Amino acid sequence: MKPEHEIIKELQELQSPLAEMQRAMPFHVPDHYFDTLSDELNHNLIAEGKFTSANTFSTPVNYFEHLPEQLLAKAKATPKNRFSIHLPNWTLRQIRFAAAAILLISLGISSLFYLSQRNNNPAVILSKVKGQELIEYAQQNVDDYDIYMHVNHLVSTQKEDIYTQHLSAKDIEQYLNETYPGQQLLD
Amino acid sequence: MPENENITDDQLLLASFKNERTRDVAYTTLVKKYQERLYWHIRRMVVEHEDANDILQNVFIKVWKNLEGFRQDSNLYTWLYRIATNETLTWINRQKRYNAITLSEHESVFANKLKAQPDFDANKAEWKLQQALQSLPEKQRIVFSLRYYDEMPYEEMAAVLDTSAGALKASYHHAVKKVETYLLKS
Repeated sequence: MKPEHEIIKELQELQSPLAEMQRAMPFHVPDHYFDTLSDELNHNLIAEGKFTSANTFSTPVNYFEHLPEQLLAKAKATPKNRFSIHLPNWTLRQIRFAAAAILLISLGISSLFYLSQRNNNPAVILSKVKGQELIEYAQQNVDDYDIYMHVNHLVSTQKEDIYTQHLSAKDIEQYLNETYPGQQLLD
Repeated sequence: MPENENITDDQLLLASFKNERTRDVAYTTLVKKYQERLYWHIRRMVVEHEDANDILQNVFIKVWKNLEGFRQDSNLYTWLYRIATNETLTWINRQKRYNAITLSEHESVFANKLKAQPDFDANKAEWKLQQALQSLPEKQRIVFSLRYYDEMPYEEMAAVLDTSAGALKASYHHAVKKVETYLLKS
């Protein structure tokens, strides 16, 4: 089947009026645009020196061949520094106090983290929002068409849908991610 | 042109491009072969000719820079559409950032560009259809455009958009319903 027939057949199966519509593009294109485009492109490429995918910066001749030797020679020529770390002469008692302090701080941070996680739970936060506010949010952010589609979808799940019966969970997830980008999908 | 013949033709183009002596001829042939399809694919997204021309030139400059390294994991045709799609989406996102506009304002920007077209006639079906397309989310608009206008099979669309054929089919059918609703409302 030719592609154009396939497209029309698919639209007819969807009972879409698009199947009957002309697919002509109404936009105007300047005269001879397509006749001159390749020349214009070539002209632009020549003007820019027909750059290649290589890096536009140049390096001295044989730079990378000699680089490892140069680095090695430079590393050998650099005098080695002798580092020595002087630890304070702590007593055993001071170390015990420090360990206890670290333990207390860790417990404090863990508790804070746990409490903040609890406060960020969407269910906890939503339970504090007034019903009227939720209704206003839905009125401002949920499109009529979305409601129409979701209601339709709920109704149509009872019927056998020839277009979606073979969809995998991955297909549905990809579709939702593309249709509602950046939105957190409910589990 | 039959699919197999097209692929062979593209392989010859690629071989010619890799040869220094025939590179320019191969490149010009490639541009002439794909320029109109890619132009319309871009134009349907960005509406104005000047913007479509800028993006198309960037696409072909990227093709010049990267064609030699093209590994033929996919066919040339889908690779070109992939570059054009990415370049167009990047341009649209840059416009949004540059103009610091919200999503709804962004839709009206393109709707206004449509109305500013020289032959625009809100009573004509083809212009109504373009207005309906501008009401779709960008990715859904691309899916609709590739299927409805470019008559691309779902498997090739999957290669262009890096997603599954099943998800694209659902997305296209959803887009068709949205376009219909828009046309009925108008």
